[in-house]
Amino acid sequence: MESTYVNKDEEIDRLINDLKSNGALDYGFHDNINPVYSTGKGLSRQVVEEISEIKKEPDWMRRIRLHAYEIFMSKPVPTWGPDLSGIDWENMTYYSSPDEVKATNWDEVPKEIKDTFEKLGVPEMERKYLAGSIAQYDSEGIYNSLKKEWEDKGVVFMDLDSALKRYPDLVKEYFAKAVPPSDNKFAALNVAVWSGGAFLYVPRGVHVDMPLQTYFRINGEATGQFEHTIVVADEGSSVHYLEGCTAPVYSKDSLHAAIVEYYVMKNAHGRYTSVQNWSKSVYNMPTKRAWVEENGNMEWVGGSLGSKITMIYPSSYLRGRNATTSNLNIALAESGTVKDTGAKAIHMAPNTSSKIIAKSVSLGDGKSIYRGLVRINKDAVNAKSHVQCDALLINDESVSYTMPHDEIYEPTANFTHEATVGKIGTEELTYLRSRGLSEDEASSLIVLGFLDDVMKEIPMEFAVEMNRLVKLEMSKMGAVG
Amino acid sequence: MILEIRNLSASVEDKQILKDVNLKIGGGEIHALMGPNGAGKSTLGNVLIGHPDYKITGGQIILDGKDITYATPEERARAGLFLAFQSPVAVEGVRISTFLRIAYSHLHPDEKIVISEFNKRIKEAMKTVGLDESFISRSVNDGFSGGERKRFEILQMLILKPKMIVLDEIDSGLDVDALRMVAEQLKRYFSRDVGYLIITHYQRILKDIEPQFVHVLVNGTIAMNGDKSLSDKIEENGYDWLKEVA
Amino acid sequence: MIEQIRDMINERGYDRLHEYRQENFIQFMKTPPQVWKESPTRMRYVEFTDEFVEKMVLGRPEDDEGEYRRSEEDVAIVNGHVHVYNAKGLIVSSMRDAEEKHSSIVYDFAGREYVYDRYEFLINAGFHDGIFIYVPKGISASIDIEDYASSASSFAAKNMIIVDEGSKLKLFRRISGSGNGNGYQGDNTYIFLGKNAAVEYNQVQDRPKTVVGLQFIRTFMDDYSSARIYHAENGYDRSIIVTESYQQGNNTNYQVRGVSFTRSLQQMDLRDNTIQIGTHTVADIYIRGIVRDKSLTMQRGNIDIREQARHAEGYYDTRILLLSREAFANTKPALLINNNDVRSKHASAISNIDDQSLFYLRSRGIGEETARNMIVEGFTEHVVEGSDERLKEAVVRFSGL
Repeated sequence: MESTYVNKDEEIDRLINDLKSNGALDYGFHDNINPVYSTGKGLSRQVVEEISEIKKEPDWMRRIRLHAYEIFMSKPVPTWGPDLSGIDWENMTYYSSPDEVKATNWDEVPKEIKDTFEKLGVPEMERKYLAGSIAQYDSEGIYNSLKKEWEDKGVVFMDLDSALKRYPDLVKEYFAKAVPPSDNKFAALNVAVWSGGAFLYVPRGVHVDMPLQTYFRINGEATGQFEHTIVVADEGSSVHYLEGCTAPVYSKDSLHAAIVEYYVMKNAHGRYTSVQNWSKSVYNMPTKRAWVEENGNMEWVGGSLGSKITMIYPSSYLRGRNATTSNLNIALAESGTVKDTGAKAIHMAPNTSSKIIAKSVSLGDGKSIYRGLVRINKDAVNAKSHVQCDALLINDESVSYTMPHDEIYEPTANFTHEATVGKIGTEELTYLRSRGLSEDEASSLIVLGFLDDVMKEIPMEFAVEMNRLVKLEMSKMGAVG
Repeated sequence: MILEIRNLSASVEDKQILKDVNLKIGGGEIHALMGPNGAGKSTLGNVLIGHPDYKITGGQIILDGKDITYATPEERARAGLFLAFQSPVAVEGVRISTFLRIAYSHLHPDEKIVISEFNKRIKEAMKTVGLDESFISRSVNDGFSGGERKRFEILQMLILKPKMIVLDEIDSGLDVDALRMVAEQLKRYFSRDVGYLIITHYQRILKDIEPQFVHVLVNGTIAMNGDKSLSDKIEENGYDWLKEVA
Repeated sequence: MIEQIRDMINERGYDRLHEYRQENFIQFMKTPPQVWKESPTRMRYVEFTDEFVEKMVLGRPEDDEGEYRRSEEDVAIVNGHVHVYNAKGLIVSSMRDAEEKHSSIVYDFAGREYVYDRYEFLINAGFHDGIFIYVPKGISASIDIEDYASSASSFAAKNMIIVDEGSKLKLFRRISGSGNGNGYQGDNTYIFLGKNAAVEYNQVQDRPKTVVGLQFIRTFMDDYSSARIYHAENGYDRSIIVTESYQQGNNTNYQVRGVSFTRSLQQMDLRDNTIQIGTHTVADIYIRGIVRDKSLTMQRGNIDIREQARHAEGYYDTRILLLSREAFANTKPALLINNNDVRSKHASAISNIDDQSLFYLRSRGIGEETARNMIVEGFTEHVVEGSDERLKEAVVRFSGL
């Protein structure tokens, strides 16, 4: 434990130095990677057919795509949340295959991406594991593809396109089951035009004791990104899947509508961590859902930092007896952005339990919204659920909405919910300053402290990224008030 | 190091609390500031460290010839001033080790900190003030008892090494052993370069650490200056007689 | 039906009241139905349609013989009565009479209304009659109202309660009725508080269980005014009950203590909201619900603190006891905070009777049923502490049903 603290502390130190020398970073650059193939702008039945054809997919996938396309066309854009009228459906490219090999080796990573990391100031080691479509990172800095020992145990970890070719039956069993295209407009869109994403299958009883990571980026102007990721933790297995993003700014709004389907089988343990740091032009509308079977445990850990509008509510469907889930979430709403985030827990079996902790920070006129649902179905005897949402408002014009929704249909259930909203206290600020800390340092420490219960669950590399962002934002704000 | 308070007046929420307070504390001096409840003792502490809720309406605070009347709290701290708060506030999620290291780097910018050594130093100091080592990974004052908070204030003094130290009711909420420890550490830390202003209602702590100068604050004004015998007299007779004198 | 309502509006009301009704009717037509889309997978909330409210405004309150008779006090209450204590210069009358005799007061205050719900607009447009109370400056008054109507009658009432500068009003209001008719009954009750005015509003809702009900209780608050709203809601067939503050004044203090009871197949949607605009406003809402049999209780509450409302405090606390295998409970507390100088919190909990408490009482020799009743009573008791004795009695009675 001790060494972790020291490392984090060192990072914080380094960051504070960065802060002093580097007031604002310019994220306004992007790579020149030319897509070799694209379906052009706009979406039609033909485009969907074309995507399937380019990918040489089995017929069932083509049919699912077309079915999803019909659903997508029939569903209106949701109006109950933030304003989505800025999404330019007509001028978006729904499929383009980038000239980017699925790199498993640092040397193969295109120079432009390396340069982007350089400009972003991502440390060397981080850059290496962040690069490439699927890359893996361990303490020795080895980032080859999946370690041989896992392969020997039958772990499948590859991009979904490849998995569809090599394990079509396995993919068919899980594809669009937890998140059917009928779920919402963006899920329908994803199923219709999905491309990329990962497939991870962990066989019975196998424990993958190191986090597996994928890194996605948006390439190409006005390109929607529709990854579809499936994780299956078979009976008695355990796995931690990690995802993180930093997107360059583009002039046109981009849409990101990913799907993550997570299947946690009997006695299995699944964990999913993601930190999203899209540029401020991105609409981020993923659908993430886990099915958790008997005695299974699912943990969601998420950080939403960038993007123009984010709407994300990772869900756990507790389908088997004693299934449990936890959901820890951080949202940072900068000026001009909306974070509409939350969590859902659906209790469908006895003795299931859920815990949701959501922390949000609003800066400038940023707006953070917690929107959540806990449903305890009838016969989910002795189900337990606790929800805690805390919001911190940094500036006068900062906004926070907390809108949980709780539906309880089982009398033996125990449900509690608490929420608080507040600002940085003068007393705390003065105390830290009276020991020599500057106002910026003191307030960023307080903000990070506020986020601490969730931060300590986030892998170090992501926590560092998060630290950097909070500090950067705080220093941009200047005096806090 | 010399702290000079010249004709200092201050208000809280438009209510005048301090009126024309004058004090001068030099290195190697121990001063006690006594006074009945509501006399403005804690206000003085907060004003000295620059708490934003307290407004200075007149006078000056000079630290080593430098006017710090309107300096920010961190500027005062960096100039060597330290206030041990009466009720230190909890700062959730901010780890003690991080907090102290950042503070130290500002107070002693020329020194290079090696984190492992610095943490070792903190742990040793924790032992000295009677806090468990595990506190190093806890948040600042978060979940601390009243006594633990006071011990942590002393720890900060030992680590950060300030020169001009204001102790606001450091003896309140401490049991006999803790009080003895505090007095012992104050004595040990004391030197020709260090000045103390001990703000206290009772003279409990003054038994263990003897002040050369005693000042009595009544209704926001220094009503009387004296030596140790003044505090003895207050212990015997309370504050009432002073009101008559003043 | 809409044409019918339009014609009726043309018949009811004089000059400005006529305009007022028309205005509200237009708003009703313009305002889209409210959608609750937060939970796409919802099972069910209270089912409520335009038709219900249309039936309300087309009817009138009737007694058991199907007649509309004004009470002895000549206010718009059938079979009920109004008692006024110790107040000089107080005006108590029907809304229609007030319109004629005190139109300047009526319009001065009607102009301050803040309404956004389409059903509420329709009631304002088509109400049959209602009670008008005006407490002039510097007076302290106490009023009891017994509202009583046949369950077979459908009607909508609009009540205006005005407490002018520096005055105090304590009000106890019981709403009840007779029979097993399937009437539709609507009620807009607006309380207007002048500077430094204070109101204590106690409401016992005990309408027949077969009735469909809709009620809006709004409190419009000027500087330094304070309101305490106690309400005990005993379920009817289907109901929506809304209490909401409009704290435009600075330093206003709004307190709500509510208890709700549903049983059999009843559905109740209870919404307790605040709108805080002035500086230094305080709002504090405590709601408790008891849900039995196959009934459904929905408790929503918005703490809505606007951008200008610096130094605001807003709290919402709801707790529901589910007492049967087939009961449903929903809570939807929301904090809508638009500036950072705010202290706000909400908490909600839904559970069954705690086994440990039950066991403890039984271990002291108390029978299980009695023990359960004691726990249920205890659950609601402290919430209505400080309210009118008759309201407390009603809560005990509802708890034990």
